[in-house]
Amino acid sequence: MIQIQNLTKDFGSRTVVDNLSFEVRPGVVTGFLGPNGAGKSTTMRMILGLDRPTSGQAFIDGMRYRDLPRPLTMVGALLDARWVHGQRTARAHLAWLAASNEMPRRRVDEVLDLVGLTDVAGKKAGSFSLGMSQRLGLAVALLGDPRYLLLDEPDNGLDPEGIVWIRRIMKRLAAQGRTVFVSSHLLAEMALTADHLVVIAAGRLIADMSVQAFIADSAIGSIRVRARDLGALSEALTIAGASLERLEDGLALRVHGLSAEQIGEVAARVGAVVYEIYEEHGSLEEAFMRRTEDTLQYRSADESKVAV
Amino acid sequence: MISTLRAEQIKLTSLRGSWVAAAIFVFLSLAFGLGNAYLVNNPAQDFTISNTGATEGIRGLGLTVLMVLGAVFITQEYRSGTIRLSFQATPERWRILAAKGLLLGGVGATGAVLMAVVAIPLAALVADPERHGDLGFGSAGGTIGALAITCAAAVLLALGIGALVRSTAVAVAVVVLWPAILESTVAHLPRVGEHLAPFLPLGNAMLGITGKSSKNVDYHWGQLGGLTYFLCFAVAVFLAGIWAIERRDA
Repeated sequence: MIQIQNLTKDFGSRTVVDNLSFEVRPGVVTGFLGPNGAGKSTTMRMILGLDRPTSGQAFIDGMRYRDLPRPLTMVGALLDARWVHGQRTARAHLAWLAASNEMPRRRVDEVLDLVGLTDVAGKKAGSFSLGMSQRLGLAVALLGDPRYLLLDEPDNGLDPEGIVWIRRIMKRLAAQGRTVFVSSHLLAEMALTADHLVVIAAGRLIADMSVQAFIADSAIGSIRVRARDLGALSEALTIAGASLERLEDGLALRVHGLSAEQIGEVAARVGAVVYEIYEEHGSLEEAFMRRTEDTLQYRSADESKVAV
Repeated sequence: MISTLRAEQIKLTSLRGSWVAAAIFVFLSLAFGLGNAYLVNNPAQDFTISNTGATEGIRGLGLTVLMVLGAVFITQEYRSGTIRLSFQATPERWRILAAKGLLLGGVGATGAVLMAVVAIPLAALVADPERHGDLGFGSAGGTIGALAITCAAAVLLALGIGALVRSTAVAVAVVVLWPAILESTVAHLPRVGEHLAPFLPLGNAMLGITGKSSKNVDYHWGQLGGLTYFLCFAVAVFLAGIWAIERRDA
């Protein structure tokens, strides 16, 4: 488990991370969501001991990162795939990291194979495309076979095939019981990858809940109903407590306040012929915007551009 | 510490630039001694060649090459971003700089000894026997030892400067300009120059190797004093570098 306790980071007079507390559990992919500049990377850097918190603490397995023996075998991280010396080969890059944490040399070839870089292992990393660098970055993260994975926007620069690939890897690692903490500003991607969400904006915690709960809780779900005799059905649904909205073509209703099951039962009671009952989900984007609106109001206009 | 040292060794040897620097070091270390040995043969003049003359390339431009290598070895990690991976792998950051110092300091000291061991007989071979001054292994122990210590200390100094400034361009400029321009400029400052000159680090390093005061500087101590002074200065800057990387956000 990763525990973040009252973590705060000031850069000068600017508070980038503001009294953040949450936990990241093993066995699931936890998405770390927020607009650009929300403090996601800074939080990850503090977990890894790269940045010193102004106050508060981050623990991995109850220990500070600095106190972990052979930390790469415990925590794998991909914060920036360009952190490679361009003149060094991919294999040499992994070799020094492996040596630094007393890992066997064969582990280098194993992870190169795992990320599909075996053929270019002897090529200089400076010649790699962003997608290849991203794969090398993931190889660095996986090198120590760690129980904890911290990935900062790992789909950055990957082609659609690569995105599907990394999504599968993250799910597989979580299914193996590892703790996977992955940041993104791409909400749609998180909806497909993550089980749990930690959402921050302007350095503050907005939500810490399952993806489904986040959507259900933040957006207003509605149900579209198409039926032969809308008049009779409308009357019965209103009596049952729904608020209705007649859709433009006059052939369907948008129902708020009742579940699909309840609508079906009302329709059966009044003998209405129903063609379609369709649950219209609020999107993750909507949920996110609704959740962060309040927080973003505190920020100046130019800072509040939300990348979604 | 062994694992950190091993990682630094892979970092050093996996870059072609390190080998190029090593080749330049070898070339410069030997070329100056050979040149001196050739020049003393000039019958029109009455020069002799000694151990310090034979090893001039090591303490001159050879030393500068080692310092450039040291400055680049740490600053390229900041330039490429690998310093953060180093810190992730070794969160006790002082170990990283210590390993770099141990490794590259060892390389510098060994390189200096090897080059001296080659340069001295080479000079003896090239220079006419009657032009041999204090030349030969019999009396070279002090010179070679001082060279080894100075080269190792110079590497520590360069690593410390690199860790403090982080920029490759700035660090390389400092270590190249220091012996060539910085120290002689300070020494020639009106009024204060002659008082500051005996405290300039590289001037003391040269005093420590040759035992002679260059440019008529009036030192307050002898050969051993100069050597100790430079070593202390280098270690102080190196420790300041360690303090900086431990304290800063990466």
